Amino acid sequence: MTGSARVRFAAVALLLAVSAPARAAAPRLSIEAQLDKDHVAVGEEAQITVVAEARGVNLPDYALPSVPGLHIVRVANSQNFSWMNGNLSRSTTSIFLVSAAAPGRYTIPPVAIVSGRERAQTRPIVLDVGGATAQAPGAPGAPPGEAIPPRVWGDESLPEMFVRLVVDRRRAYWNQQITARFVLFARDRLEEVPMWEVAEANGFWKESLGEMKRGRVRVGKEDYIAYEQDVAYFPTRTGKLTLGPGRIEARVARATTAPDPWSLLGFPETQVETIPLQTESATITVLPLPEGAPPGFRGAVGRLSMDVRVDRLTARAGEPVTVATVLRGAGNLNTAGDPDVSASLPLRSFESPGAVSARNAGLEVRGERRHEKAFVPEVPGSFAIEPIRFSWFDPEDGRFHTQTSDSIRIRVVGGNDSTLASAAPAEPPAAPRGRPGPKGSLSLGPPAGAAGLGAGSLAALAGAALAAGVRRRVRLDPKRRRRSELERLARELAALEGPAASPSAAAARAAAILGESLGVRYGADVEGRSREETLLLTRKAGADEATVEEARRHLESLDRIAFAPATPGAASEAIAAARAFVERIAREAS
Amino acid sequence: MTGDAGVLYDAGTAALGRGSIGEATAFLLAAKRIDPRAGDIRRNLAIAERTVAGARGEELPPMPRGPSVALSAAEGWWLAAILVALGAAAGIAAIVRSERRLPAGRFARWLPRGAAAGIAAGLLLAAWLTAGAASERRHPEAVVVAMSVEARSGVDEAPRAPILMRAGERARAGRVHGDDVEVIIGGSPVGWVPRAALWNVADAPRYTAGFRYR
Repeated sequence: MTGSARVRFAAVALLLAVSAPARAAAPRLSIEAQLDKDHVAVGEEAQITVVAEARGVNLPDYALPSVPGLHIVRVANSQNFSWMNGNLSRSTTSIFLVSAAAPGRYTIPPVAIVSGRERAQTRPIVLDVGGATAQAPGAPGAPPGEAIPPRVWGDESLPEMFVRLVVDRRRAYWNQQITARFVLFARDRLEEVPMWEVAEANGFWKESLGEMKRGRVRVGKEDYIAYEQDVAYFPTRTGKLTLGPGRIEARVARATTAPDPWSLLGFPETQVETIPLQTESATITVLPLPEGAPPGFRGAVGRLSMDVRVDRLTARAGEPVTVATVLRGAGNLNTAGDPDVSASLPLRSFESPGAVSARNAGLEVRGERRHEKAFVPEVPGSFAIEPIRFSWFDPEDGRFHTQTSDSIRIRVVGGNDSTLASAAPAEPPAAPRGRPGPKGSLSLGPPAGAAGLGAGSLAALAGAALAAGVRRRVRLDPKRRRRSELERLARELAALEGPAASPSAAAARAAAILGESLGVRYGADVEGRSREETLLLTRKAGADEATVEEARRHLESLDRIAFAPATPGAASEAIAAARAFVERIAREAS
Repeated sequence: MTGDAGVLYDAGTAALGRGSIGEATAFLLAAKRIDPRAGDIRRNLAIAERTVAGARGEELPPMPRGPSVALSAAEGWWLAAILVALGAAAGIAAIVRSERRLPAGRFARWLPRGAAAGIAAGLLLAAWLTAGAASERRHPEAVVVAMSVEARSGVDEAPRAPILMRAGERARAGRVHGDDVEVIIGGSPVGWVPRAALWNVADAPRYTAGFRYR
């Protein structure tokens, strides 16, 4: 590849790379619906929680479709939006209560949402009302008609693999964390890392406690590799509830009993086998919270505390004052309501729903729930943020707790007050310059000069490459090469026409050039050939009879002068005639 | 629109002094577009941004330390053009040498590679700058100058909760309808605000003293 070709190749590759489509992005619209129990009595209510999320696109509104015989009411709706890495994310959580007046099996069709080209939909929701149950008997968590996988694989006394479900408590309060550990014990290394499939548990809010852990443990006298997935469950209703089972598929390599007779080496062969295993289920007794919940209690359970922050104590009229409540601690902060924040005056206010950030610590779900409310005072004066109360239930001591903030007074000054400390920057600003600085365009487009330089340079390069290409093509054209070669030979003949010192030598050289010209014109290899052989080869190469005869005459004439004394000037005439002949066949060549 | 970095900086510093964080941010952003390495512009803009972040309860951005190597858009375009021109010159030299069949030395062997590298770097930089310019043309960078403003859903749009925007918050301006302009944050429209509440950074010079339309 020549230099110019490399340049063009690199430029084309660059343009292709620049115009390559971006990687496919992750789905930007999602919606999920969850039913808290799939079997209710006639008149009993089931709860459907629908969570819709949009990242970078609009989040459309939605509603559950009406189903004959079902009574569906939306009882709560919360919205949230956040910026994450420059992307706006919106989510809504809606809670619907569903009840039926007659027994039967009801199916709520999927709820679909569309935003631009993004589309998402829920799964159909099936609710059994009355005495019929949806599950196959005796197979909790197993699809109907499917055999229940064993808990142990191998010899019962010394199993190759077995699974366990361990829960940290069998009795818990409503919304108290229950930690479930799903563990697979395997004696040999598995072909690939297995993944636990933990079934949704009716009546629980589930939260995974990180990635699956792997480690070597000793069970009895044997060493095993344990694959453990920890899950936190928070009961959302009371009574006897069932957790699990957990399912897992382990892939193990087993040696075949008989070597393959067709195997060239006769070694025993191994076969990868998939072993499904399933844990037992655990029954949890969920106790209701004790009587006497303080006013304002909204379901927060755990070891929690509240922090209240106000962004300014002095504001200008029209400037928002933001009050942030931060609940933090161990517990399910997703279901803990935000405390009420109110002002002593009726002010324009904006509220953002609580945003939860979880930081799991070991087997405990910990986190922070931040809620902000901004008040916009319109006139100078003052107002107060009323004391904020937050109540929660601590299951460790079995008591309700309440934390109350102090009242916070906010001073409001006029909109043009320039002495306001809160709006003034904390660091001293750099002093004004008091003189003009560099001038320039605020447009982000290219300056005309830069655009001209770049485009002109590329055009010049393209022109040079184009011209070089044309010249190269011309040089490589066989007809043009032949003609230019014949023209060169004609010029050599013309140089011999003058008063040469030796006419015989000039004639001999001219005869040789004439023979070479015939070879070039007809593509024949005549080098070192005699006159007759040259003419014969020329004829075979396609020369017509008249041309061959004329060439013969010129060659004979030149030979005569070369080998016999000639009159002065005779050589020049013969050479001129030969040159005219060469010029003619050069014209014919193109 | 052209502007004077010194005049914009002085206007921004004065606005910062009187607590008009929105105007200060708009003026200083405009000044930084023209003179991005000026220490005083960077410092006062950082102060304005820290004030806004503090009001939003966010982590404060750091104050600028040491000299900056940032380029303005115009300087970036010139750099791209010079890179392309150098690459093109090297390419033409390589073509001429190849045509004349001049002997290949060490320098000559590097000519095609230098040409490809120069043109590639220039075009890549130009592509990046073009993307920025196209984004600015479609949705100009803007700053909230009102003390606070509600971004509400438009008349033909599904109702959604209004969003409170404070002075100094940066966004992009979208469609204009009557006296309202659409606010775009993170590529998504979040609502409509009165036009008077939002200044386009590119239009900041017209709010400076002594500005005259040409």
